[in-house]
Amino acid sequence: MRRHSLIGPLLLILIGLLFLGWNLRPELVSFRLIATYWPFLLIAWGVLRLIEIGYWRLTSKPLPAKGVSGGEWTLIVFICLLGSGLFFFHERAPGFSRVFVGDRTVEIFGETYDYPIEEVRRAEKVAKIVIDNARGNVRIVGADTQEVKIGGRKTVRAYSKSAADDASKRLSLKVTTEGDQLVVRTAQEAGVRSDLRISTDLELTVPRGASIQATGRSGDFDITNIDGGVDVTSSSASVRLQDIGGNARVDLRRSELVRAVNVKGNVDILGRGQDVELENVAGTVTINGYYTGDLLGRNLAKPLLFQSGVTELRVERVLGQFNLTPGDFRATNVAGPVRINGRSKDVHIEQVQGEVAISVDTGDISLQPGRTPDAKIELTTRNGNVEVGLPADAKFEVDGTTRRGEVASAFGDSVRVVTEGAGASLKGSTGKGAMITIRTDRGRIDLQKN
Amino acid sequence: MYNSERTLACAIRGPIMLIVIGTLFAVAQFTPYGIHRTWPVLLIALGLLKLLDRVGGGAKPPSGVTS
Repeated sequence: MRRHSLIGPLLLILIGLLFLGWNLRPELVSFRLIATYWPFLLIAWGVLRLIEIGYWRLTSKPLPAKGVSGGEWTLIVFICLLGSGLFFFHERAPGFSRVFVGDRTVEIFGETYDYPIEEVRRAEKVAKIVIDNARGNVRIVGADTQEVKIGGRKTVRAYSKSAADDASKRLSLKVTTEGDQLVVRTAQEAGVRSDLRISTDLELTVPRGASIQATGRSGDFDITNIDGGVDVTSSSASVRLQDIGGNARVDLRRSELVRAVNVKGNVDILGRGQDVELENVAGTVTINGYYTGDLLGRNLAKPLLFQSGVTELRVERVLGQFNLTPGDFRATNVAGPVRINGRSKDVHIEQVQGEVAISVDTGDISLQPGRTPDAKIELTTRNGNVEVGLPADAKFEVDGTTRRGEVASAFGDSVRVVTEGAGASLKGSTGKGAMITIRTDRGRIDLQKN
Repeated sequence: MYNSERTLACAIRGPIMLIVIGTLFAVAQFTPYGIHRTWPVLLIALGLLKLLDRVGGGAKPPSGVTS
């Protein structure tokens, strides 16, 4: 006796009805409807099959060895993937009413409830302001004032207003004075449901003479117009510092951007992150950690030392700008010693004075000093071309070798080019001057006249 | 009887798992508990069904009892 399942025909009818509805009454059958309610298809399928099995058993028909066959499971996996994809697309697609916030699906449900914060404290004797805000953005602006004004809002994402109210009550802002420190801390009591997303965005106006110590777990820091030092520690934050009178220290576990503009003291950046932008820094800059994005520097008066994984960069002064990306280093108007050690990087430097030492495993090197070199230049690449452009009247000594590749020189008889097997070398002098040493294992050497 | 119980336990395993999967996806749609959090329920359901299989019909029948 053969069993006949109703599910196949029912599925066909359902698909037919959906398409028919789509064509005839598009307002009833929407993309959103399918994207939202598709899991019930699986539940209905399972329930129907159970009913069928019950019916087959009652009528003494043979039961299937497996309630759901291999082919059906394949179709189910396909439906799950398609359904999840539809849901994801539906939530992210522009034009739909819901907004996707952040990177977790949790956040797309519920509503956001805001609770404003407003507090003012006298701060005549305060030398340091300590801010501890676990979640949320912090914006600090220095002003000619003797007060600390704390504004902003608590944000709770919840399913109901009562749940949000309860969570908000358990999250309090505590402002205390400890000696010459003013401590602003957001404290969350135990017992807040873990699925609620709670954050506190703070906006502080503080006396500009104070120094700032800020800590957080996630949320950006934006600090402007502070004469004292600034210290930021966070697990995940982008940090923007502007017009800082003292030293700035930033220690992050994860970050998209660290920007320091107009800093009179030293800048010290530790930890991990992506991009770093530095502009008008009067003190030394030290970046020590894993910053894997772009590093941009403009007008840095003192040495910059960057150490991240396999890349090491040291520039004495940046009068113009430089940009270090994962694939290359470009600089215009910098003062040496300029040292670059890297694995895979193309290097382009224009207008440089002082010593230059570049060593990369793979990558082309192009150096256009724009003047007669005043200190030694060492360019080494294992695999890449080297191009050096010098003024026609430049006085220098040169010693270049490629093991596999060509050599060209525009300096006529004073620089001798010799081809040896697969490689070549150039050696010579146009007068008493700085030594230029070029080494490449595989690549072309080109000595040009500008 | 033993075989019939066992076949029934086997037969309903698929549909019940299907209902559980559907429910988990529905839960993911309408509550904050996404599949990435609730997936262990699948293991529990599978374990319970296996247990049901053993307890309900999987034990060896006593000798002399024909199925």
